[in-house]
Amino acid sequence: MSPQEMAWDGGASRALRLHFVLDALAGDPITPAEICAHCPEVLSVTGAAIALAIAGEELTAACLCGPGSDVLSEAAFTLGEGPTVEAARRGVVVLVPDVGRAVQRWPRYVHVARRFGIDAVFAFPLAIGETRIGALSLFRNRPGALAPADVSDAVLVAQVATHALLAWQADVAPMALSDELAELAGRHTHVHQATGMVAAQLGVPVQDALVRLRAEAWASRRRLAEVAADVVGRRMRFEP
Amino acid sequence: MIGAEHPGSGAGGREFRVGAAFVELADTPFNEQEVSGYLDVLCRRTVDLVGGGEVGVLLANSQGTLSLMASSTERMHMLELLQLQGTEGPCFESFHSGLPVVNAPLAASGDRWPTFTPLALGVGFRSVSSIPMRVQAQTIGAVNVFSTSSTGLDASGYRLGEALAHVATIGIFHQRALDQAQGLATQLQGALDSRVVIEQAKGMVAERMGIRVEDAFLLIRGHARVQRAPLAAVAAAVVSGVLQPTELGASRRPPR
Repeated sequence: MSPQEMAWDGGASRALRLHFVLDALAGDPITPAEICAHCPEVLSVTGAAIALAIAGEELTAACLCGPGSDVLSEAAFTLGEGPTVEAARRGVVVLVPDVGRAVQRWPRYVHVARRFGIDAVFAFPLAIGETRIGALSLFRNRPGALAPADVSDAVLVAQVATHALLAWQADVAPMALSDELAELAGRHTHVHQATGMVAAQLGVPVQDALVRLRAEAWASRRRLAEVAADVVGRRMRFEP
Repeated sequence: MIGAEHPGSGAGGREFRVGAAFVELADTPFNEQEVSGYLDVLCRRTVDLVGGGEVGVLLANSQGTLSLMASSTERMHMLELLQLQGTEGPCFESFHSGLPVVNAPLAASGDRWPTFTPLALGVGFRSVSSIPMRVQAQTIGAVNVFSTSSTGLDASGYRLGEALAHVATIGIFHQRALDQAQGLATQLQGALDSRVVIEQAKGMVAERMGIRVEDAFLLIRGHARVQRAPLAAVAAAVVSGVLQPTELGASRRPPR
């Protein structure tokens, strides 16, 4: 089975959205961590991650569960490729029932997934209309498609997760961030600073500088954050 | 009779029309602009199915002020407007109490609504009902049904009116929740993106000027203060190359 993609209108069916409204009116709002923790039993997967997309490209895991989800979340961030990145960037559902078949598309991501025993990845955008704020990733330790009912349930779970993340932001001033979101956004400060430094060293746009940093991280088998720390600490420079 | 439909079923039958009304109201408004069209549907379907005479739908804004969103006739329009100008009437009562007004006979309502009652009687109505648009503890408006008969609505008509109003209320709630979420998502994206661009600018200035990242930040912030520009805007100008690091703080030396 090769990777599949499907267009997603950002809203699923109106019935599901009504369901959410009723649910939201019913009581205490559910947190992203609770949603994530329930994914394995609800959607028959072995792990899950809810990630926030920063500047459309960088995925910061807000919560994780199950074996391998930490490594693959880090891989999505360090490499900037894979189903999670595609879902968050393009707002589409990306179903990869057998990661082995996706090696040409995401060679580095697939390498990491197989090494850590993840054989299937399913990614759902966290989006409201055209505004994309992240992705829900589901992981499984054996190949095989997600059942159609689980796909539609996962769309609903992604919607609830979107609203749960936004609920953090409900009571803060415009341009400010809630404590929870500020903590997530602050995790990769060094990477952004290093991106600016490398852009200056190479005389290229920041997007290209980030690509160079990611390539260096992969080549030296290190995390993007470690390479960034070396750049900011001026132990490492990029030459044009 | 040849070609007769089974009463109540088939296209045009009451059962069919009830079903069609709920299907139509399940298609909830997607944005603020679609709300008035949606309430027009509620109005038309209520007139058709509930069995009153005329119907008006009022919705409260965020300050709790009611305004007329849809009505079945111009005559009604007049009356509803009058209701709004005063501070009395079945609509105000059901909106503020959250409880319905059911078939209140206008002949006996002179004391209850001294201004409203004679006006309503004057245009030919004999009884009035008002169904609050309410979900849990929150009331967002009311559906008013005016009858030219003093008995008003029968029990099944009233219950159907309540059900239609309830579905429409959920539809409006849904639209508002979606609208709010859309606003938050855009705001979140803006806040996150501006943090990224500020960090990138710090790195760029530190590298170009050969200074520490902390000092680069002081330089950018100083420039933003002098220029009275948002920090994120100055940072974005640096990152895009519109503003050179050497031009920063041209009018003020950075603290070392």
